Amino acid sequence: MKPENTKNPPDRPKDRNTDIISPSAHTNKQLLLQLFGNSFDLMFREINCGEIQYTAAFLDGMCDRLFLSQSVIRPLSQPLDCKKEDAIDVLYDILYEGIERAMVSTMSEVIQHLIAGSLVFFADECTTCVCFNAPIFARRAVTEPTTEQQEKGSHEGFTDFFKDNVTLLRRRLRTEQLHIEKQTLGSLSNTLVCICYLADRTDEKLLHEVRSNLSETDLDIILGAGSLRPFLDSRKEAFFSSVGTTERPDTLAAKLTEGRIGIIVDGVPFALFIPQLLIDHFHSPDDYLTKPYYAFLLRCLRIAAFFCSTILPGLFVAVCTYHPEILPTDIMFDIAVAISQTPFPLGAEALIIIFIYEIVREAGLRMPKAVGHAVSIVGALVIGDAAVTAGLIAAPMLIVVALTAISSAALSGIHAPMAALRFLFILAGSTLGLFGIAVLATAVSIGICGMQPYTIPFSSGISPYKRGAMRDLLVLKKRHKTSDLQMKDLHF
Amino acid sequence: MNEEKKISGIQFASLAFISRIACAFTGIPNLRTNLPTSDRISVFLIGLLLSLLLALPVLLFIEKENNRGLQNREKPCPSGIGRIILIFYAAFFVGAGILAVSRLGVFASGILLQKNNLHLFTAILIIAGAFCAERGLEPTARVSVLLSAAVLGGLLFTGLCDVGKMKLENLSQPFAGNIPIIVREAFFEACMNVELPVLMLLAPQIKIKKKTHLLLWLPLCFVCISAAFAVAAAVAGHYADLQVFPLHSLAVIAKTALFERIDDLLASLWVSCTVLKTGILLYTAYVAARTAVPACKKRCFFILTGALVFGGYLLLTANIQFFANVLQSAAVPVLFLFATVFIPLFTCLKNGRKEHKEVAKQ
Amino acid sequence: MKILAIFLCFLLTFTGCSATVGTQLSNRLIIEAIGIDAQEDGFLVSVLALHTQQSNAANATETQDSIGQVFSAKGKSLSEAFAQIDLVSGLVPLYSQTRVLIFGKEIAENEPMQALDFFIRNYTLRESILLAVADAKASEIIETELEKNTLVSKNVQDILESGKNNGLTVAVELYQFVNRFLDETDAAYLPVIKTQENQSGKKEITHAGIALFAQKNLTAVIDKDAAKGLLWTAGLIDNDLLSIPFKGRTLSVAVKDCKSKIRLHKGDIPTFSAEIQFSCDLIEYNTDDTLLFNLQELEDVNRELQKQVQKITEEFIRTAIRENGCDCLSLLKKLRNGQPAYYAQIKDKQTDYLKDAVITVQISSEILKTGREVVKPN
Repeated sequence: MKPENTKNPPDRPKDRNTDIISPSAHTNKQLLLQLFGNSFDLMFREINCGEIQYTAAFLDGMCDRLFLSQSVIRPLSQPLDCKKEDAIDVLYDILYEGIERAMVSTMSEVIQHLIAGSLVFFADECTTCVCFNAPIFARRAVTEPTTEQQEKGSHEGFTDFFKDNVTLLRRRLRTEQLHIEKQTLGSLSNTLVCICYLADRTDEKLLHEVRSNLSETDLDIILGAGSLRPFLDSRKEAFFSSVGTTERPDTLAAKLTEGRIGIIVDGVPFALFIPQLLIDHFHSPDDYLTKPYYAFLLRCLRIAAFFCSTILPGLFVAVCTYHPEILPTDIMFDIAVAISQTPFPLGAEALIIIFIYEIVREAGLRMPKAVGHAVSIVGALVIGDAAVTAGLIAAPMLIVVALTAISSAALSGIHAPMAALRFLFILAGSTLGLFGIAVLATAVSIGICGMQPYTIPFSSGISPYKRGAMRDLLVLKKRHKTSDLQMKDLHF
Repeated sequence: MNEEKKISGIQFASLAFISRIACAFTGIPNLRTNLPTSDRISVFLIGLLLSLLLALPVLLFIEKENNRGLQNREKPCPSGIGRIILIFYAAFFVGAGILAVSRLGVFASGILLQKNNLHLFTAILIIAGAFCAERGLEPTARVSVLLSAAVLGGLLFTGLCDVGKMKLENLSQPFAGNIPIIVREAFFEACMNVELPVLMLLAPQIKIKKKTHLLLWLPLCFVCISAAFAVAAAVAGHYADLQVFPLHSLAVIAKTALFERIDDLLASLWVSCTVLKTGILLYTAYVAARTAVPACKKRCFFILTGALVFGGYLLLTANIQFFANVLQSAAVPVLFLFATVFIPLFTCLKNGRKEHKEVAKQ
Repeated sequence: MKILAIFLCFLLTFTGCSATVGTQLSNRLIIEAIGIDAQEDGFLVSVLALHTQQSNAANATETQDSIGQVFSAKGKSLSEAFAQIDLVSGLVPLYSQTRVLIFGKEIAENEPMQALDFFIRNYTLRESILLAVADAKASEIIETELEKNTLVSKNVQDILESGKNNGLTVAVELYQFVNRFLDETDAAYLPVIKTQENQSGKKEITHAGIALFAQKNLTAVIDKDAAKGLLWTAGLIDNDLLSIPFKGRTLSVAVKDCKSKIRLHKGDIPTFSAEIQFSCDLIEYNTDDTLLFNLQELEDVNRELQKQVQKITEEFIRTAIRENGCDCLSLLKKLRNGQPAYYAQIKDKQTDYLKDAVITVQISSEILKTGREVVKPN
């Protein structure tokens, strides 16, 4: 399904006169040269088959020239006995073995096929042309996912080419119920986007809504899965996103069996799945490969890490500033001595250190590996040691922030909301103490419970609690089937 | 806010539970009468009986009106009276919100934030409450389930910490010569159950499988409060009688290995309860106002009522004596009885007669 | 709108609008112990505080025990006196870490509740703060210079809390004292402490009995032996050490699991009984030979132990209840709850009734372990 582009790309055939294929191959060639602005990689070849002369156009680098010369051009070395106006039809019929081909009748389709890596044949006195699809371009092999590592599971991750990704998915869900719809988004990039779902499990309303949201995508280029997220998120201003990402085909397959919808974007090694629930952040594929008691422990740890990462700095500031009576005297005194050395109020100190941590983290993500060691040394020595010795930062605060950072690393999927909430809780704790934190926590809880992406409560499993729907919330039942949860059961 | 979403009976019970708990734990028990802490046990047990009695008209209303609520009845009262009644309820719930916030304000001024800007704290609390109301009934009810579990857990934990310090001889004989005062106090406590008229207004949004679920919170709440007073009396005895907030003192006495005192942690839970209570009261006021005046816009209404609540809080807490006089006055129980007993019975009677006339005509 | 709100919050935090930011921990005077003495026209307050600035300046390796500082101030009321201390120290006092509150003897003798009112109203102070009465002046206790790395507050707290293991003193928390003090029947009690010089000439703090409060004032101070009796009878003791003479030698037992129950026996003239149960281990018998006990001898030891405990408890009953009319065992409270009609009759002369009340003490004990020696059969 083509999107309705609000902006027409420049130099595209707009009116009917320039969109139709001319019966003169030469005219078609000139038009293509004009449209592509004499690009060096747009190439033409004249092929003579007796009285019939074909003009082949292709984009160098996008087309498998070797394959085409063997499978397409070589068979045309013999003269063809047909009328000129049937030249394209004959070509279409005789070259069918093992080649994906299409007959097109408009110049805009010709352009699309050229960009997709096809070899396009024109002939004189023909107003149609045939496109032979044989794209070839450099692409990565299937490698281990970098962001979601699993100890005992598959080591295959998505690649940048959507067909490979679809293949990886099909290998895991060998059923005809796996439907994959392809569409093109982005008026300039014409990125291929695939919607994947299991027809017998997905709710029609959910599917319709996703299709509708995608069709409203108004972008020029789509370079990453994140580009589509704003269009798919049900509440754009919410902290948590209702669209999840995964680099693993097995994870995506598991999500599809729960009635969710997957979206594979060409050129991106991440797939999206909708809807994402809060509890998804605390689950890991490894949980299903270990004993239930250990999986339970790990999930509790992740939930504790979430609270640690979000609330701990604010809690520390609140307790030390407003509620020191909670602490035993020995601990309180040690903290008081450490804090007395620093010039800043505790709340400001917390914000400064968290800010520095975020900068270091961002630097770690963006910097070249060659300078990685230097940044580690700077981060560890300067911030960790020199700042404390110089009395700029208190050691207890540094310990709290370090714990926060480690906890945050355990849940890298929701780093963004955790970082934002962390700042808010520090502000709340430094202005109103524990009670400010309580009010903010209540408001955040209401916000989370009020989120209903695609009419499915974001906090499903925790609230509202449905006994059968989220059986493996914390504790894995024996002989757990990953498909016990169904999105259909969670609708309001 | 999706107004079609219904909440379950258990969710409403949780909401009512935390709303009533917030009232009890942040209130000043001896505001009206100075009673020994031991007698407060009897106050709340008798209060439970009176509350169940006062809940009967509400249950009858729900039964007779087939769970349609005041605003959804097919056979409304004459529009003039019906509208007035709904506006009365809207004002009633806003007033209840003012009382709830003021109660917490007095608690905060004495206990929580002695040196901090109390008005800022209250303003933020009201904004949070308005936010909860704006999000709607369903998320508020769901959070209340989690919060009620936390509150119960906190109370149990405090009790366990203090159980070793209990001395039964600190408890005085029940009804030791104070029976009329105890019954009067129990009645006042029963008139604090603003959740009953809330139930009446929000009945159409509650999935009522069993009517007992709707009143589950009453025995749970009152028994918890009685038990808390029992522990306070057994642990602290006459010391608890001296305290303005004896239940808070219980939390101060509780000590664990990690925390020297847990009162601030518990008080944070009570603050959260007050936020939700404010939210649900404003939401119910909106439901009533929207029915009476369909043009009422949600956001404007919450901004206006939030400002009203803050203004009312400033007025009420400017002077502790004025605050005490308001809570001691007969206006509170009279208004409550009007909202919980008189109007439901009047409405049932009126509609009953109308139906009878229509049947007679046919 | 959200961004504006967050920006405002940042301003509040970074510009240090002190009304909302709160007092930093380093600007607090952490009070460990408070002593209150009576003055001619008010109170003398002595506080032992931990000075974080001083600790920081001294040495990071110094333990906290070496940085206690004493501040004293006078005032017509306690609030005035504490305000003076704020002025002197320049820090905001933090009462929540206070371990002990010590009254001077004069305060204890003249309506101690007046002095307690400030602390009962102060929400930051823990209700479980320990109370004590100084033998003379509270300031003497607070200002005592103990051995290095020993804070007076910690020392006093340890002494008071050790009472349940040695029977020499008792730990009374603020709310417990107020509860008993305000009751119309009970007599409150507080440990008495004093300073003395030890063998090496250094000052040390030690217990000096228990002060009894009846009729809202200090009524009597009972000595160590009677104090032990109070602890035994009221069930305030967990472990103790008893030494008895046995066949010309001293025999020592370690008492454990001591329980006491006071019962009211209803009747025309109600009586009381104190049932004390304990078990003990035989830990030492000062003799040249290794004597092997047989069962008969163990029973004799048991009987002697019971006699010893009986003697202790009767001493307490005689001193506290009979002579001073101090109801430390809540007997009248039990009578009020159990037989209210009878209590109403004797209410006006309850002290006299108490002095003449029949209180029987029943002791039951069990020797659990006798050490490595084998019990020789008869």
